[in-house]
Amino acid sequence: MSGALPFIIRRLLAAIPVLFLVSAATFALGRFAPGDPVTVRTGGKVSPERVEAIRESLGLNDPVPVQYLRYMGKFLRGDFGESYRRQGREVSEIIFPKMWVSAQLNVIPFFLAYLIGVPLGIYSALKRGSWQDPAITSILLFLSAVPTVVWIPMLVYVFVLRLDLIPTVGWNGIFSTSIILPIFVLTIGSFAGVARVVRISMIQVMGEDFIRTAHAKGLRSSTVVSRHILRNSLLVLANGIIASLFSLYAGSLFVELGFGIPGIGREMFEAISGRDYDLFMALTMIGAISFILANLVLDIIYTIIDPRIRYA
Amino acid sequence: MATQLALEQEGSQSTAPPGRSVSPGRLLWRALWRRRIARAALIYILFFYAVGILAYPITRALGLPGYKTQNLDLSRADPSWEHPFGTDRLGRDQLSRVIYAARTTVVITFITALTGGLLIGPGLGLLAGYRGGWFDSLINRLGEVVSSVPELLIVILLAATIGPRLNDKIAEWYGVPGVGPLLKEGYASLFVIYVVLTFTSWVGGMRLIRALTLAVRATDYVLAARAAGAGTWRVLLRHILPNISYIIVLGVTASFGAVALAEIGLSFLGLGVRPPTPSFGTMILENFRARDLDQYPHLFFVPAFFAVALLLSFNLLGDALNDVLNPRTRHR
Repeated sequence: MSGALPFIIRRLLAAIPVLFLVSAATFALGRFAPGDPVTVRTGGKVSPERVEAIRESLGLNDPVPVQYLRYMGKFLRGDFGESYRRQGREVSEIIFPKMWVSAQLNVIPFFLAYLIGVPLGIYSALKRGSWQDPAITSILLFLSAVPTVVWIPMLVYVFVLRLDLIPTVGWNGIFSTSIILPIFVLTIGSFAGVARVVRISMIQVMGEDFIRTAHAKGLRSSTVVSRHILRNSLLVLANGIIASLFSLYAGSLFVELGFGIPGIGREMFEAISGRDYDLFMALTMIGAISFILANLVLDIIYTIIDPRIRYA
Repeated sequence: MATQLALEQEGSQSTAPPGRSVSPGRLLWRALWRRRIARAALIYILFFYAVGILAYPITRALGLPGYKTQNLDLSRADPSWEHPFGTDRLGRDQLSRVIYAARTTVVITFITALTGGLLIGPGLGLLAGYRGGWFDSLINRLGEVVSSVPELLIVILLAATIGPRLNDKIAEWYGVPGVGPLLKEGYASLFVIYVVLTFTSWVGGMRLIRALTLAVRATDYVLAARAAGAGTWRVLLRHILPNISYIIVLGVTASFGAVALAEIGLSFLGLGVRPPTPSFGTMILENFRARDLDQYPHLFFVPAFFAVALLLSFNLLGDALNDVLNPRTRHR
């Protein structure tokens, strides 16, 4: 494990300019957008003098770089600012409950995607050369060709409107029937990708020389699969886990909008379209920071599970 | 190199007379055409693009009203001989709108995939991989910045902030003869989608092509070409590019589907194509709510069907291309 600490420090230092650029670009974009946050906040029913006074008190009349430095100063001290649309409410007070909703919504699809995708990928790879492998691939291609915004109305039409099996759409907590369709859509969106990655990785490992050696020395096929092929091919899943976590972070947006679930994806979308500066700055920054940290953790995990990979 | 080999294997099964060399492009084409699923996918894609390109003559020939001709007396009419797919809330002919939605998809996928997927991504990858040095680090840092934020977040952020500004700028051109009417038809919002999608989509292509370029650069024939005095551009275009062009074809095919999907998502969010121009995303948005879906399911299912069939065809074609080019993971 030598070299881990300098590696981590180097990566964290390299993240600083990236975060600076992301935050500056997001901030500038927000200010560049048409529409005035004070008008949004006051609902347009206030005299121009009053609007000007509010602008002054919020510091919106200062040059944009000054506003940026002031915002970042507060951000680094853990103060994410205030929502413009919902008067007087702290950003952190708004986003953490919504993140909790999204986390609950995504946890089941996350595990289901792997529970279905991994065995399916393994099966498909082992059945290579027979009809099952191309059949599974075709079904997966079909499932992943249907966009989320098409799945949602299709399922609502069949299960809610025609069969009347599921009474409501919306958010009633994780232990209610209305969560079944959102979970279904989110799972469909990700398990096909998992299965495909597992299949390709398995097939690549199956072509290696040591697999031939294992067969040649008389090991049973099941032993070769479980001890030699699986172990070496599931490494790619570590990468996929982080990727799917983040596709869930942003990807549940359509599901939240389509089913009327008050999660973080929908909040982000509404914050951006409603010019809620502080709110979407906070969301972008939290997203970018966790993305960079997650990738760092991933690189460290790689060196632990595969000793051939060294810190570079 | 593996690519070359795979194609030769494919080719040897075909009926090419011995002794006559067949170009790799032809081999690739033959190998694809022999796969029945790939052939069906290709035929649907060609059909879709033909309809999109010929949208105007086709609707005229069928005697359909224009995609924005409203007829409020005929709001949400059922399918009939006159309106085979029915009419929407404003009484506009749904078949005409589906045909013009295909045109929207054709335009946006062509311009985005050809510039972002073909020129910008691979172009930067080639240069970064071959030149190395400060240019390489600059491009890679930029890629890191773009990919350090979830893609959907960037796309929405850009579409919601730059989008309206760009549209305002473009609106100043409405009076210009020739260009003005086209912009008014909604091509301006296509340009916005294009800018937004290109901003995030170049990174993947750049990284892949850069890695391949690094590998090809280390070969002896590139060294020989450089020793013979070939300049940067000559080496890139004559020696490196031909060796990785299949991967670029694969990437562009994949990006056609991805761009079509992204347009549907953006338009669904109201950030893409502006009304009255039809696109599959806006048509889904207009007809997906439970109440409308209950009474007028065809208004949602018909456009959704054509859009999904296109996305599926791109998926199947991409898979078949992958199969042809990567013999190691082939279905056999």
